Amino acid sequence: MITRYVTFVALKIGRALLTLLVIATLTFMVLQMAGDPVTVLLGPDATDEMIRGFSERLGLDRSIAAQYGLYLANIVRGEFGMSFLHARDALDLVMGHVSATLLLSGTALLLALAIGLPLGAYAAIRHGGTGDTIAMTFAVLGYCIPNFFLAILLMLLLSIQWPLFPTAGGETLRHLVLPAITLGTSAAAIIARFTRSALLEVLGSRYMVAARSRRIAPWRLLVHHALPNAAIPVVTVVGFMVGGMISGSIIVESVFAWPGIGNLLVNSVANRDIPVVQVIVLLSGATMVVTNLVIDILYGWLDPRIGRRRHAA
Amino acid sequence: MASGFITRRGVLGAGAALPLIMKMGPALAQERPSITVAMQEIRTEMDPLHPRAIALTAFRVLESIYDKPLRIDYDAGGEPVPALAERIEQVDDTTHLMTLRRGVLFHDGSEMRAEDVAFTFGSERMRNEDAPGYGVGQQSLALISDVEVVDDYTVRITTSAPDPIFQRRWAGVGTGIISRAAYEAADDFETWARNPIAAGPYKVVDMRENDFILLEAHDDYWGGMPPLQSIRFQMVSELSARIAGLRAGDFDIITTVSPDQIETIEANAGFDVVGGDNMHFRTLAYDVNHPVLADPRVRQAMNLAIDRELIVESLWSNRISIPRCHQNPGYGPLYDASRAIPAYDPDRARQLLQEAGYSGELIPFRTVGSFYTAELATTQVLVEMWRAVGLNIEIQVKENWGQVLDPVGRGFNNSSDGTYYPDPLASLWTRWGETGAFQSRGYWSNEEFNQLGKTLVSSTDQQERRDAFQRMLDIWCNEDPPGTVLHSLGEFFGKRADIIWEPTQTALLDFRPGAISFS
Repeated sequence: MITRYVTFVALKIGRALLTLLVIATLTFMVLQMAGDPVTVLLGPDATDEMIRGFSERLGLDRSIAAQYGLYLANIVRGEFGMSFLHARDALDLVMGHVSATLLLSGTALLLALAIGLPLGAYAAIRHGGTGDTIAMTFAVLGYCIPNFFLAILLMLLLSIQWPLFPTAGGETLRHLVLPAITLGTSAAAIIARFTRSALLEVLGSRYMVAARSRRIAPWRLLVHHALPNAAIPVVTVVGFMVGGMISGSIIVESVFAWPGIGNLLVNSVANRDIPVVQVIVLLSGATMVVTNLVIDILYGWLDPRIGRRRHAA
Repeated sequence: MASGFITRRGVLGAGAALPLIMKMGPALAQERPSITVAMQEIRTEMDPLHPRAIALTAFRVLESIYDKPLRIDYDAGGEPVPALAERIEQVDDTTHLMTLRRGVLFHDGSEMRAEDVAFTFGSERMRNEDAPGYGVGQQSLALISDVEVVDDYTVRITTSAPDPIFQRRWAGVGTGIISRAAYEAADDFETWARNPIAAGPYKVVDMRENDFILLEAHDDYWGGMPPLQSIRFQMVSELSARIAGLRAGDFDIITTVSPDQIETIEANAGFDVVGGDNMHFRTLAYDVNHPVLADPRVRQAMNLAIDRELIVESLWSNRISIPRCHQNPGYGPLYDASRAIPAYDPDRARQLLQEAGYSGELIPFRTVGSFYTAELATTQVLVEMWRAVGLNIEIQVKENWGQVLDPVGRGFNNSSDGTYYPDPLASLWTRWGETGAFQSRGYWSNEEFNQLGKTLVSSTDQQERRDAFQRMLDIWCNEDPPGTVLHSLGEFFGKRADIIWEPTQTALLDFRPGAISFS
């Protein structure tokens, strides 16, 4: 039994590593194909002499195959090279921006859960009524409104009309408010819609009818019986959101000049700072892989039947 | 008991108050305002010879950190005037003596000496082929063959050939003086470039890649106390976010405002827009290796089909001008005010295309769309103007400059030529000359143009230089055009209306004493 479990885990880890290798290779190839990194880095005013000198310093005068081989060898050693753009260790540079993104995406996610779960539950309970219509109208609006537009709208309202929060930067918690609302709004809308549909399914099930016939209090019905059973699809979608927060934060960080890795990624891709892009992409990939593992564990906890099925398999 | 003016208690009290009094100077300095400048990009490589520091966005920050031996006084006809150098005297055709200003202190409090100047332009930093500043140095200081220390405040500069614009070069790109000791104490060039020690009015105190650069007043600045306590250059990529931040009071000055946003900003009495014309040229660059563009008549027709006045009126609200070919009034005796702006003559364009046998072949027009102000709109307008004379132009929007400049399948592209001191050597020759960006990338070459360029580079006879330059303009603008000037590179800045400030003629940000004040 233990051997089977170890094989299962090893297979999972092997697949994850293969996924990361494919991600690293594809990123390298795409960035190489999308223009000479040195020309991009130095801009249109650079002369041949500057380009030659800079290429030699960065090791970009080697063949693509040699650069790729060296890159993979460095990854195995846990080295990601120096940022072309900032001449600093790429991993250090990215890690210096991670905390800001975690703070932003964590706050946005909490906000999304705090709004999305009650809104979805309310809509499900008031299914077909005015409350449901209003809640879902807000959810659809929140989902449809582009982040960029919402960001500018929030700036106009909460920074210019009523000067409550700053528009750019990341020095204080006040700087966090507008980007977190922007990033959290669409996530809240998605959670609300998933919560509503999952709850509607659960509320209509026979065991809920049976529970109601036993005159269990409505709030107790919701909290103890309906919500836990409706949690699986919501946890799945929240899991995807956690994994996708880096990509989701790109536009928001760029608009609000929030100093996180989304902003760093935009700048690094635009400047073909390949080592930094690789670190961020690998980090995103690793986040997705870890999140999926955590979701698998959570499934088992939320629905023991899933755990038993896997165990039996 | 108070029997006189001087008492024991009084003396002790005065003694206790002394440190407080001594602190009053800096305390007064603290009262100076601090400002935040929002820019579309910041570059944290802050050595002027770093290859990443040659963009306009980088120059804007470097302007506050560095002082140069000379500076250009545009109010005095674009002539060089003393800055860190008191004077530069010519000894013979290739030798000059530079006498330094005494008592100039670097940001770390050490005094600037001749050895710093010799090191700044020396082999280790700039002149050796493997020196980190070699590439940028070759752009404007290639003629320097030696810089020797004569005494603590004098250096002897030797050039490999006579240099007609020797003085002006010392106000140009890459000539900011650095502290040798601080440079040598840094771990490497990159570390140094993030925290340089120079002699400008503001010093670097903090920075973060993709985020901000914070400068603080250098109170021992030789030119007087800097008017600002600190300057924060904040990177905000999106123009709409920069405008919102200006209106919200988060920023005091914002850069690169597009002309269609000027009205929005000025609608509020608390803000205004400055800038517009400057010495840089907004251009197009043609690759003559393209089979259609190989014929100069096609390129001439393209230039004649452009109604520049209409572009300036409709997209720029007439806030910028159209240069008379590739020249600026600041060029002084080399400038020909009688030369007309590039002609708009669609009939002649059609005739030239017919003579060239053009029959509708596709010509690719590459652009990144958002690098220059109103770039995409200008590109679309141009294509319609060309369509009106029968040219078949395809817009290719590229993601970056590497793709735009890729020689495979290249037709022509949007471009610009910066001019950081008033002489054609700073622009026409640097960009289009024999070793300039376009010829070295294989866009175009013209033997007569290159020969004339040699006269422009080496002749000390002003009339000879003027004749050579004007003939080069005939070739560049009319006979064998490798591109064209559309208009000056308009640059607009939004700011708080109570800030009295203007960008420089080269679209840089000067915050020295006298350059900025508050109403």
